[in-house]
Amino acid sequence: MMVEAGFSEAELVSETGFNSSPVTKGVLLGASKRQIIEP
Amino acid sequence: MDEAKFNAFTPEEKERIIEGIRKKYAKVAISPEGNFRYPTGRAGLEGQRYDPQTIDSLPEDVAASFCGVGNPFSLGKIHEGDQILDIGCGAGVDTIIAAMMTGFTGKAVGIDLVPSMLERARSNLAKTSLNNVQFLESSAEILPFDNDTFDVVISNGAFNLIPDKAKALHEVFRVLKPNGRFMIADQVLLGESPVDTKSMLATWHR
Repeated sequence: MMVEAGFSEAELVSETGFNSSPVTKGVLLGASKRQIIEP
Repeated sequence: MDEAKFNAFTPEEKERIIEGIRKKYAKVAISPEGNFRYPTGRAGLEGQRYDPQTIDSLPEDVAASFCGVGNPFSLGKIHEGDQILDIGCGAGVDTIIAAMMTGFTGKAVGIDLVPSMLERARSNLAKTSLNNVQFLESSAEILPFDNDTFDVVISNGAFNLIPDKAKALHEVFRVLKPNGRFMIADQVLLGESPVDTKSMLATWHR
């Protein structure tokens, strides 16, 4: 979904250990908006 | 994840989700204690290894209102002068920390859908000496900012609550400057999502 929005380098970095329910997991996610360099 | 399923809510279903969020977080605005399965307040900040000096510099009421699920600042540095947006800022703890990090030449803006949380955020801000913070009531699905406004967008435990996540992600991308960074701590669902909309709405806030 992040890539479809245009992000690059989207990654799930790690778990946080804080889970709000038995079926969810706290995670850290990072992404960046790559600069488009015109030719 | 079936993206189409998550984006197929009717306006009435979206309103039910938002009402549910407002109801839950009206209680959280008073105190997060007892409303989550993980540590909140100072214990939460310490558990997520926020910088100890930063924690100590927060007024006690500000630290006490922390209910994040992670530490988005662990994903990258905030530079002096950065413009930062905090999506679903809640009581504004991360917004305030971002403003401390960027300094007086930068700015931190927090948006949230819940009026009582924004009220708590403004009350928290009043307990600091910061003058580079702004809190606004706004949906993440339609951000009230120009293209290429922010160096960093952060979010902590809020994105999972947004009904149309794809739309919100497009908005985050739009308001980020080129080379801007999105640093998010959040909950992800393990296994399959509920098969029908009724079940999905019933479990939206878990």
